[in-house]
Amino acid sequence: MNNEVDREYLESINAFNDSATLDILNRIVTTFQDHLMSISEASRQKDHAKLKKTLHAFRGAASNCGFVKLTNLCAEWEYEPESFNLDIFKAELERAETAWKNLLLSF
Amino acid sequence: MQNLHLLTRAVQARDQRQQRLTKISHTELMLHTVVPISQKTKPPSAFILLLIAGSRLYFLKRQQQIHRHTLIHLPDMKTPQSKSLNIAVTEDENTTAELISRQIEYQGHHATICNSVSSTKELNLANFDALLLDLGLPDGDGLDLLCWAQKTRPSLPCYVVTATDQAATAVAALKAGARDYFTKPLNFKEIFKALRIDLQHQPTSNDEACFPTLEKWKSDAMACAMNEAIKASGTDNNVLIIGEEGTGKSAIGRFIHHNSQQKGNGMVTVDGSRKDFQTLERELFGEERPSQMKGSIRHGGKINTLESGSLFITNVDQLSEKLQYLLYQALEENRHRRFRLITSASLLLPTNLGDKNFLKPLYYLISTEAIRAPSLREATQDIPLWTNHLLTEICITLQLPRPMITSGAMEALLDNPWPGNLHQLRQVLTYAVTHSKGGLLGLDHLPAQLLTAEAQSMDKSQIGLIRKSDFERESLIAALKACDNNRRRAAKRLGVSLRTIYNLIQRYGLNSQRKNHQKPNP
Repeated sequence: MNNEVDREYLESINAFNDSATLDILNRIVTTFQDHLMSISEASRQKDHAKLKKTLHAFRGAASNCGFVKLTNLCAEWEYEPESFNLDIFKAELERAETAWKNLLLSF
Repeated sequence: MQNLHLLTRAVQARDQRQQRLTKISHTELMLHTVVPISQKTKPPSAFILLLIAGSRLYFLKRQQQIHRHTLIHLPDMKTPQSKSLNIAVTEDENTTAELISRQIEYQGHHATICNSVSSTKELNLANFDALLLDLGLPDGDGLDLLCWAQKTRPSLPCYVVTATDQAATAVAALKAGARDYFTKPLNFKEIFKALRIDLQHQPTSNDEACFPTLEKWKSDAMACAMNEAIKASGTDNNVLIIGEEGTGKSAIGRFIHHNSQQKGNGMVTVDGSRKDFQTLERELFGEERPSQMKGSIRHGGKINTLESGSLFITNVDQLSEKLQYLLYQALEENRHRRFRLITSASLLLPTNLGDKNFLKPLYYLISTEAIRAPSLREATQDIPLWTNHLLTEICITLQLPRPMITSGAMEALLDNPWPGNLHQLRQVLTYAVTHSKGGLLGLDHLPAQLLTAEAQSMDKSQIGLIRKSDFERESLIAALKACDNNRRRAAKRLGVSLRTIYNLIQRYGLNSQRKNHQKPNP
């Protein structure tokens, strides 16, 4: 397991053997930019309830793809929305997406 | 688009890699004892997927190297679990729902997706084997949905799958009746493991296929009992199944339920021999609360709330006098109830009701249909059938490959008097299965005691009642005697390690016996 993507988890759900599963995961990854927009909006409005809700939705999607670090970060921010940092979130999301692309290329 | 391109490349790369895989040779197949490869299994491209019944492994051969891939779960074709399950999934997030659905289908089962509380409530839960549900749903709370599912079909295994990992939520879900609580990312192996275990421990429609049908029973006694059971299942009458300990009364009860009109509505089993009378009273009859109209009124309890299905009370003869009276009263008051009552008891007859302190009117109320389950010694012709049935059950529970029993071992089983009936047979087979580790189950795998002369000379009525320690000691002595006190050979014979043999010798103080035995005669 690297810091960004949990390869063991992906193997456990047969992502590398079953193209249908991989296809679903890819579609989940493509929704991340939409999640980013709604999270950014909630953060800008300083609407903590909305931020928690959007982070929760994103966390569910990120965990499905095995994005461990992002999942853990979002869990922390869900409990303490005041400590949410959009720049860190964006940077981590970018890293996770890059790791995902590299993973696809490597296999 | 870029992701799609990457995906296409990834899939192409994988296909090229798979084309290098070659067929596995017959020599390698011989490494395994039983290899019934499914005829329906067609290799996708050059990818050879072998269904090896029992081992549940698949092997890939790539450039002369065998790669053993552990556990994608391949259901054993011979077990009841091979029947595909129908699983309802309530998840509002579409892609997550799709992922769960795909994982379920990958395991050979069928998933029905609902996005909301309202769409789930439209389902007929009788058609499903399990429910996986998220907690945060757009039109309501998942916990309320869980309560609804438990009330509608109490026996349906429900599992919560959620991103929320707060202990309080998990406790609330478990209190509401969830069998387990899984947080995301979902570990599907764990989910399916939990599901398999739960379905084994409760009667489902799969059990119907598993339990031998009437024509398979060879003995007159068992055929007669099963005939009565089939007749009883065609009615809604109360059924009382009587028989010695371990004569398969519960199995007959489940058989009646699965052949009755109530089969789709689940069966709730309550053990009447439980000694915590207050809990048992609460479970069956609910709690007594003061009422203004009457002195007190009972709320809840299986008898009052069960709206459909069967209620199976085992060991009804061991209910306390108070509970017997309450049961009688509840049955009298609810003559038009919609569930079916099945009870079991050990040798409860009209002639011995007084001796057993059993309420006479209750006996006549519950025994509209009375079925007698014969003991194993009355139905020796059925020992092979029970053996096969129990072997399958044990192997599912222990998740071990099912061994083939040799004729020698079967003869030994047939020669035993089995005073402990099926409980004893199950104990012996569990021992044998764990020591045979798949393949063939022969005489060597049966407990030594079953084969020794001591067993023959022992008071037959005591065989089923011996304690585990006595059993171990006797087995050890017999094995040591058979192996001329050679501990290494005795260990091999009993299928345990040499260290275990030393530990057992020390535990049972057999050291001195050995020394005495080796002391040369003057």
